[in-house]
Amino acid sequence: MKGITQIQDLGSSPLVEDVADVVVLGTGAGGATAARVLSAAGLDVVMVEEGPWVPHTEHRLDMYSSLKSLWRDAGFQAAEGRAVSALLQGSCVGGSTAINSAITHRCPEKIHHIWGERFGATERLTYDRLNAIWDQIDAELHVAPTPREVYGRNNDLMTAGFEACGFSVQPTKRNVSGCQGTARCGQGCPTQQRQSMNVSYVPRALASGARLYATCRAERLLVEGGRGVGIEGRFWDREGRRAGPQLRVRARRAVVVACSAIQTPLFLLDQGIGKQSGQLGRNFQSHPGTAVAGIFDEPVHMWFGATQGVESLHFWEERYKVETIALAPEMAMVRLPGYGRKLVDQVGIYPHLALWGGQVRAEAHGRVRRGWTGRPIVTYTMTPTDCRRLKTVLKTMAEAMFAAGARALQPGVYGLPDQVTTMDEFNRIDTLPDDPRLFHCILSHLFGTARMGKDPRQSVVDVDGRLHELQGVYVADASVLPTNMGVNPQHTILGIAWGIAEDIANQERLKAAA
Amino acid sequence: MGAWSRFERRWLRVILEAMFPSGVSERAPLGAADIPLDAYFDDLERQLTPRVHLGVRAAIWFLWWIPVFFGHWRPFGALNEEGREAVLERLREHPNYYFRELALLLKTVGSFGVLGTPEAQRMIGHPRPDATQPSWRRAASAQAAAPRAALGDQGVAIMARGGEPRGRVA
Repeated sequence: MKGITQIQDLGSSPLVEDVADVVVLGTGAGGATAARVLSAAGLDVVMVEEGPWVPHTEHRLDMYSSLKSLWRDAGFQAAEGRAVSALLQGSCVGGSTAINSAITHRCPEKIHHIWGERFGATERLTYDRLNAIWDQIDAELHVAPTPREVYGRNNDLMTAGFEACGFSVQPTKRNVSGCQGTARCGQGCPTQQRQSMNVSYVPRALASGARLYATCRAERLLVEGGRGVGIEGRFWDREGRRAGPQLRVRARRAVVVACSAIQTPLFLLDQGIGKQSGQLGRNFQSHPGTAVAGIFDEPVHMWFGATQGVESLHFWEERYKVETIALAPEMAMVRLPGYGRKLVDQVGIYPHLALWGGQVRAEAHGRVRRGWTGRPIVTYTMTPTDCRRLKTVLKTMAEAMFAAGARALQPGVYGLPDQVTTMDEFNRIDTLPDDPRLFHCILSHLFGTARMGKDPRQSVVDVDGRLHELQGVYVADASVLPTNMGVNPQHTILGIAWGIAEDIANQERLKAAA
Repeated sequence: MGAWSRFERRWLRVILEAMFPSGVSERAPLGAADIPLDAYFDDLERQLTPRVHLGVRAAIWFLWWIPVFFGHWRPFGALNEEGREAVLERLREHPNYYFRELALLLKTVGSFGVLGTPEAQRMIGHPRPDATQPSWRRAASAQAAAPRAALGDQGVAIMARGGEPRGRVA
């Protein structure tokens, strides 16, 4: 695609230099949106992305090929604590929007209110303003409820089960245009229907004149006179781990850091920023999620249907939500209990398997920092209350799965039988200790590591998204969200990044007018 | 950190063959022994971070020698099929979290390699496996291809709005 430069395009040059009004680090929900808004406002924008540009024609059905080309650390990234939790992030142009299920939720007003009350974070990004921004994003990214024709049986069954239990359930609103129901969101949409950033806002920014340096890791923030004035980075061949040329980009107006709730604090900590508040990298929050597998007599065929086409927010006030999740066969086999003959004997189950996932708005706070080897370290341990909520969400899913006609369930919880056939058996979960090591959790929604607020002692960025400690440097990704939300964060990140970028553009307009 | 040695790879293959056995089920005749996994191991070693690489190595050593401590008095590879499965089941139900997780790590590694192939996906029941093979099975990657553009005698490229090289710096 025109405007994209990657390591393989650069030959043996030791240095690539560029100058722009704004340099944006990261092309996920935050970075791509910022680039889209800034370039549309007439500013010259350079985007820098650590991961590669992967055309949809290269997306594969097999999970490993996708993990290594689209996911951070080939999908093996983990948070450490009392238990090890898989930490899911995209690492490609489009970031996590290129591997998620396109679920869109506006930040609940109640959470937005908490952000205002506790942190003073909503002075610029008022709820009315965000709603107006979300309206525009919804139109641009074709946000709509999952159409019935691509439900597939997995989504049908969850609808039936939740309705039978009297729990509300609805089609997930997603940023997809013309979903084909391939159930391959996690492998990179093979038909380009999902409006992830690599097919929406990145191309849009490029069409407005922006440039993108992919396979390039930002390493240093250039600072002059107490102001961020650019970045230096290094191109990397991820496959061969070969270092390529250096990149130096001067930013005339601003540097926008949008590398995710893990990489943003690490990049800023590497620059010696964050000492003032002591908050950078701290307050890491998430929505730990786990799943229940149901075995049905009828074929479910998880390979057809929107990956996460249905959800229930019935228990949002109780701090958890439930959604369907379709898994690739080799992921599903990891989920099946046993090894050897016992595992192989279950291969025939896959076509009859339904999978639903539950996420908890956890109380736990973790931390992101750099380890002595230079690798990121994320520490996170669910509290006993979080564990109890996880048990509750598992029981909710089990009840609805039985109501939908499941013959047996595989709870995937240490201490419960591999397979249960009644709720009484499942309810034994209440007798187990509140210990995170009983579950296999994933962390896919990450928040809070450079939170926004008025008080520089409590927060890392101000209400404009600008670092308290340094002029000219903004953060526009999930790390500025002060707390977790109980719903999927992509749309909130888009809205916040849009607002921050709009304010930068307006300030530049005012300066130019003056 | 060094690559897995030849014997570590052999141990890994033996462990995966026990986890994903061949020919024991009519429904699922394919197993780890039927898939040449060396190219997968090569590729995987390039992808894993040093920390995970070390974790996999630790898991290989752990699973290989744990039967000795379970009273079998022999390493994993010296056990018969039933003995290997018994060790894996014992690990799965073991009260020590890390014992369970180390075995699960190798199950994950094996599942990606063994069950990601079109023939295995067809066996599992997927009706539309990719026509193309997983990336590790395909020939030399595009990374080895010649650079598309050489920029600047002095090696300094200045990029301009629009993404085209704007000029060279002497």
